[in-house]
Amino acid sequence: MEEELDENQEQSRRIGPRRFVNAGPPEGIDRRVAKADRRHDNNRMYATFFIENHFFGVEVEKVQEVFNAQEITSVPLAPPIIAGLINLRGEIVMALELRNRLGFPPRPPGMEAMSVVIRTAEGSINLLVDQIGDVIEVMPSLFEPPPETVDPQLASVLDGVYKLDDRIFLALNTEAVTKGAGLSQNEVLSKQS
Amino acid sequence: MDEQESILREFLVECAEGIGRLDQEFVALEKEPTNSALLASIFRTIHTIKGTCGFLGLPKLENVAHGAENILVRMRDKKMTVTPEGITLLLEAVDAIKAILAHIESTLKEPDQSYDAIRQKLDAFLAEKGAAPSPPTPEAPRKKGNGKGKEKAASPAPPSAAPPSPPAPPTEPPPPASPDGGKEEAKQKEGNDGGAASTSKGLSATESTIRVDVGLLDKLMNLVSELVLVRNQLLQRVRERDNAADTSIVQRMNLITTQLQESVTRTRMQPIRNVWNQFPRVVRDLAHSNGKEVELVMEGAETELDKTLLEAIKDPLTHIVRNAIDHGIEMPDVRRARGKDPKGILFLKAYHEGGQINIEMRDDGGGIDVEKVKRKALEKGLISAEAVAGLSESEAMNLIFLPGLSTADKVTHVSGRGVGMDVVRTNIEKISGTIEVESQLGQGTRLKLKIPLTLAIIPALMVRAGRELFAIPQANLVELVRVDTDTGERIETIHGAEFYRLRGELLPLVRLTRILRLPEAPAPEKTEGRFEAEGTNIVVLGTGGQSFGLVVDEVSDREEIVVKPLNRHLKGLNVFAGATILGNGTVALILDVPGIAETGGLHHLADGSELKLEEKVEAVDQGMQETLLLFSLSGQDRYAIPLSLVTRLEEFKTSRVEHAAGREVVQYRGDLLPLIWLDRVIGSGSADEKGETLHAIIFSRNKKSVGLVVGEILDTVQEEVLLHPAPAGKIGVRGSLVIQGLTTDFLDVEQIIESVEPGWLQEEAHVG
Repeated sequence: MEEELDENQEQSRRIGPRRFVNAGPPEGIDRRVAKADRRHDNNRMYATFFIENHFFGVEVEKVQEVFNAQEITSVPLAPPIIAGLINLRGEIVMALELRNRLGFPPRPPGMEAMSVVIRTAEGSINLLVDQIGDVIEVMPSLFEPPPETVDPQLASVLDGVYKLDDRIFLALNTEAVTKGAGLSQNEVLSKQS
Repeated sequence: MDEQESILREFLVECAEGIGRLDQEFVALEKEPTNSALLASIFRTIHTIKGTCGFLGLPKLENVAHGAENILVRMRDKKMTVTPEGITLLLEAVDAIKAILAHIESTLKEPDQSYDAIRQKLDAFLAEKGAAPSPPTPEAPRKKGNGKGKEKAASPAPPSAAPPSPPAPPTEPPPPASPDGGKEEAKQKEGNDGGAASTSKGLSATESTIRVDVGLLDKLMNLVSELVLVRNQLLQRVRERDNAADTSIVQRMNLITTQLQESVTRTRMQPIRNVWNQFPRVVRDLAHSNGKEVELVMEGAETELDKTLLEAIKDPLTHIVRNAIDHGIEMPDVRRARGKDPKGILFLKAYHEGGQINIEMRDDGGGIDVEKVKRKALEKGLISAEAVAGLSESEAMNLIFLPGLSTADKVTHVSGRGVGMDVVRTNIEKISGTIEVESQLGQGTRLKLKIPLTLAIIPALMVRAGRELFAIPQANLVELVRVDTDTGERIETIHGAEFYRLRGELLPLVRLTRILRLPEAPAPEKTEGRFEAEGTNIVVLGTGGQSFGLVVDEVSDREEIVVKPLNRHLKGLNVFAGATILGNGTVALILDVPGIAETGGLHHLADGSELKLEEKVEAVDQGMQETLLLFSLSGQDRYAIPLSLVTRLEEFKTSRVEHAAGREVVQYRGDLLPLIWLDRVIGSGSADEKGETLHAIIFSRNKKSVGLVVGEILDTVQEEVLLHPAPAGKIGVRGSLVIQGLTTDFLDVEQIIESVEPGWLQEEAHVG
């Protein structure tokens, strides 16, 4: 099983689109440097992914692992934000459909989800995304709070945005993603009926 | 944890062991005031506590313990007699000691309040009953304390937390210090004591046990659970490959894993005595305060169960015991008047059976007055009058589990507030247990608890619904039934609810695909009414004394599964009890049987209407009693058809009747429902068809429905269908019988429909 997983990571690294210069051969975790090609100690590193061509990321320390589609057992009666449960090396981990959480339309049929497993206070959670990107390093000077034009549901889970050369990078706040998922007991129960 | 704290914690653990025995020992001493072994054991415990306090700097605790010790010395030296009064006071001191210890446990310090009062009380008692209190000998205890402390500090592996094996019973009193100390220490203590030395006994007790941290045992248990999962996976793969060499290796591994699992499970088992040992005191105190006489008999105290389960049943059992004394057992004079022994008996029994722990509580008190319970339930609006009328004896008994119900005339400290039995049941069900009650007015009450041996790994039955696999805990499984249409068994539908006649009783059915709102798997047509698809699998489940049938698509294997709790976000779904990983690596959800019952609408007692339906239909199928629907067409005539044929009853506005393809129809549930006026077919044709509304009996077959228009629905009855044959040639009438004193025609619905629309019965529904 360990080997399988590495394979997946391999795949996902290659699948990730290459946007930045310095496209060296992948070894260990790829590092891409944005804009000013400088490594600073206070540069932040993010593991990135795509949803509907929006470029998101979470702090790299929060990420446990990433992999391709995995068999998800759906949970009947659970709200659509909960895609189901997966077996992660013997641990049962909840899969959260990030599209639903962020207010995007549901995944079109035929598009398989990829998994980004993050560590939270309550254990690991598997976020389902469209595509996995590379690990990037960004300079804090590029950071800005979420613009007013952004949909409030989306804005509520963002730490902020980074203005990169060619695109906007949206930094997710993992706590906000999982906590504010509106999955209090009452909500689940009312959705049941 | 620094050294000081660790020493303190060890002290607390040792005290806990000794104190835990004290309650029981004191109560036993009360019954046997001259038992010197008991006295010696009690004395030793108090003495040790007092001694160690000095070293640890716990003056308040030392003070109280010292006061108690003074009295005990007198008693032990036979200079004071052991009296109930004395024991009560000493028990007070024990309570104070417990309180201080509890405070120390959470804060590592003594409480702020003063405990001088109890010490003064003890001294006063001593002065009254015996000679002047002897001054404490500061040297000896200190020395002991030091010696002990040193030993502890030096010991390489600090022993900790609860012992895995049961604490020794009172008749075999090992000195509290010995379980972790060395021989030297025990001897030292014993020598100074001059009390009944059981050094050698203590030694053998020391050598055969070891103290293990509970956290470590939990970890072991988790690891074993993981191993079981992996073993399941491995087993599955190897079975598929069918390689002889691999198979034999895996078989061996399988054997070892099973034994490992059993052994680790056993390490966490503790005898129920650990919970029961406080009951003698509880019973004594409660009986005294109520002015009653109660004898407690406990059988099976050595029965073991998992530590966590033990903790979970502690409160419920305590409540039950209190209830029995507060409300069950009568006052001595009342008992005498009833011809009973003035002393009531409370009997506790525990034993293993069928992979579960059974705990019985029996009292020979006044029993539960079922009528009173019903009245109270009605008064408090917990149930409707109709529902009450339809209750069976046992169902009425189960009313005591309703929240807010208490028939106590007197509210005591804990019982009588009506918050008891429902909480008890909830707590028992939380650990996948069940509770049943039986009672006879004037004779007594019996409560029976059944609790699984362990929660982590359970045997389960895998079932399929809508192509997904689900696990049902074996504990809730009663039996498996397969309904085949050819054998003539049927699933009956009444007013939309399905039932299956199982050995004469109607079993309410719940469809798993419907409960979980799953898309129905492609299967042969499912219709309502009389005709079922080829084969139906019913899993009969039990919960809280009630059974119901769960209809599933397929029944798969039995598997041993590791129960993993659901994520916080999913805990709100009451139909699931947890999740597990199957042998093939996929995740499967574990069904929560009470949750399924509730979602399926089977909590009758709350919903009066459900019960009403059931009460009407509850067939105690003796002979050929059938439930019939009675109706009239023109007002004077009476007709009957089997209720089992009826899909539902409807009312339509006459204005909604339309004409289509030469028939009269009404728009109904998105389709056109053809109508047949029964009066025109078999009646006198004189019925008034001009009313504003018409009543129709919906009959369905092959996904089609037809509405049989009648005049008036009269009633449903249960009757033995013995027909006088109908005159030949009368279509649609099978015969007649007398119902409620009036002649009633028993109809053949199919013949009627056939006569109006030939071929309708055989036709398949057109795909609309």
